[in-house]
Amino acid sequence: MKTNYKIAIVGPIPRDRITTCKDEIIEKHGGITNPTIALAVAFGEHAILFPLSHVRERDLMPVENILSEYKNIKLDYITALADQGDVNHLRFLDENKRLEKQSGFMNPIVPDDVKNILDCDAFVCVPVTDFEITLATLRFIKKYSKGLVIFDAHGPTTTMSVLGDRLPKFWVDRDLWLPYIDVLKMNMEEAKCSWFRKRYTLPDLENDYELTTDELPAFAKHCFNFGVKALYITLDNRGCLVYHQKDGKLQEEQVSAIKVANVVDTTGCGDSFAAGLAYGLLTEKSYVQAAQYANLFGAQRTQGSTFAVFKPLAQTEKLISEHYR
Amino acid sequence: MEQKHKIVVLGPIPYNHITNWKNEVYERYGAITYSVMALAKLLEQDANIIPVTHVRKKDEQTVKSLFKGLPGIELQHINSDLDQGDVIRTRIVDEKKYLEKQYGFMNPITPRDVRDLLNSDIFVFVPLTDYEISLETLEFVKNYSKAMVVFDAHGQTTAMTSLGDRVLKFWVDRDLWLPYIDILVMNVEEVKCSWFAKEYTLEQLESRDEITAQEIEVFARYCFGFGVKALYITLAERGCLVYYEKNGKIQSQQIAAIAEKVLLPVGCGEAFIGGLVYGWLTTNDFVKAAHYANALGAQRCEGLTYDVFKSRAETEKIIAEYY
Repeated sequence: MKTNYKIAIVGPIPRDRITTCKDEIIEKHGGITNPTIALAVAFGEHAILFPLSHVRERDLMPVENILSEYKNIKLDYITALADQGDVNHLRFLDENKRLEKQSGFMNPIVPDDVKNILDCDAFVCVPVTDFEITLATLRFIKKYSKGLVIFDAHGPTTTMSVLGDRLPKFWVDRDLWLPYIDVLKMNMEEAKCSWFRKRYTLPDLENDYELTTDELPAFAKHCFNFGVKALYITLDNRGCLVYHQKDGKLQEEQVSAIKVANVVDTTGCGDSFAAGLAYGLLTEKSYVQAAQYANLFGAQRTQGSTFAVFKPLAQTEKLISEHYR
Repeated sequence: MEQKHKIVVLGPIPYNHITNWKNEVYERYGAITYSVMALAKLLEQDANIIPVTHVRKKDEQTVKSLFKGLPGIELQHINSDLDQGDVIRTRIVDEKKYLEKQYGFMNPITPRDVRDLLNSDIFVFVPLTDYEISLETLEFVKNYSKAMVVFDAHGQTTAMTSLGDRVLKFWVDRDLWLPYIDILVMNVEEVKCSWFAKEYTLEQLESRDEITAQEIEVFARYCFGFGVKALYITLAERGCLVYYEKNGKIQSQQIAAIAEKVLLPVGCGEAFIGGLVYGWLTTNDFVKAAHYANALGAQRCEGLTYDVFKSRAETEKIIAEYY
């Protein structure tokens, strides 16, 4: 393994104020803390992690305290200059059902924020709302860096209303973004928002029609025409679908999920999945093997509510061997 | 007027199915249609007006035919290459409350759409939803053209959900846009989306408190700090507020509306902008420009058809009598 990877993880670190179904209130910081720590633990001394985010002043120190426990995480790019950061309120009605409101929002990440880390080997971009990472930033990275761009479509397929509601939206300007993305990751709901039709009927929209997996190859081809190299669609407990090209032909493969017995908390699974992709692809695994790491990182996230869920390299490799080899 | 102006008007021309409060149904092509028509009526033969938009193939010829007979309108930048255009169904509950569903959407306007128009005098951006005009386009216009940029904040404060709902949103990336805007136009609701707090309580989000005059002035000053030269806030039946700087000091004035009988309150904002652009081009005076803006906004609401806009002479007579 190369020993000096540099990886930027770009996106919000929201302060999540969680009201449990027993009316207990918990505050914690999520977002890119999960993929950053997952990668920090997996790579150990072989990589330096650069989380890049904007937070509120009151959140800066708590976030730094969380991340400073890991020697290979550099904190210089978590800033509170505008005193703006994401703030989410989650109220659990029962163990699975929750209401979510957003009441604070980070100032967008712009080219100036990344100009000093263009030598990173990968940029793992995990926005959760449409305003957080600008298109200009991706364009800037692609123009001035050789780093691999992994992008989570969760951001551009989610808007926030003035009432604080977080709502799915069509990624209408998708084709402006695709040329600057190497690896695109999303779930089925986000795929529906990304592979939109030219027009709908009102009943189509109001009945919240479903996109089928049969429609995904055409979407993947569309992405590849713009320069995307791999498309990953997460399927929850069914694992994920991987699309890539080999000798000019579309390849599709489903990679089964790693079964876990006791799901404690599913928050941050998608972000952790993206970290697994980065791990796999940087260590020169195939697109399918990278999906195995992604599934594993996602599964690990569910196993507890702390960051101790992420395991070092030896254990990670052992788990991969047990499940996939 | 000594020379022909070249005015570019950019934004959607939605196919709009409208039901008013009397359950009467109208089918219209809206948005920049009204800005372009208002400008054409006022400028007569004195300008080239170039609408830039993307529409569905089935709408292209109908849209182009709407402008027949109006002077100075060039139609070659109305295109349907990707067969995508906005489609909106509007139910008008009363003069101020609309329920809207959107189920078609244009592909965004990009630098490619404007690259041969950079010698224009003014670019008038009138988006309805956040994806319609890319920030890159404004940046491109400002970097490669000397034209003035007029921008309606309606687009950046409106999102469309995957259920087709059009919802108000905060303009969180506002500061990335302001450096490329000379004249900014919005209504009071959009000011609340544009002048946001760093964090809200859940109660504050739900109550949507009114914004005060003092807060609007602070917002205006903030915009001017980024290079904006004038801020217009429309106030419906109360006219509009105009903010600008003179000798380093903020000037503000409320310009009363021209009383109108409201028959169809659709497209008033776009017509307001048409009047504003004409007024600014011909007077170089932000307050006088507001007179034309109010006049054209009022004319739009007075009728049901496209031919509501009066000639330049008639409009000037109304303005002289009223103001």
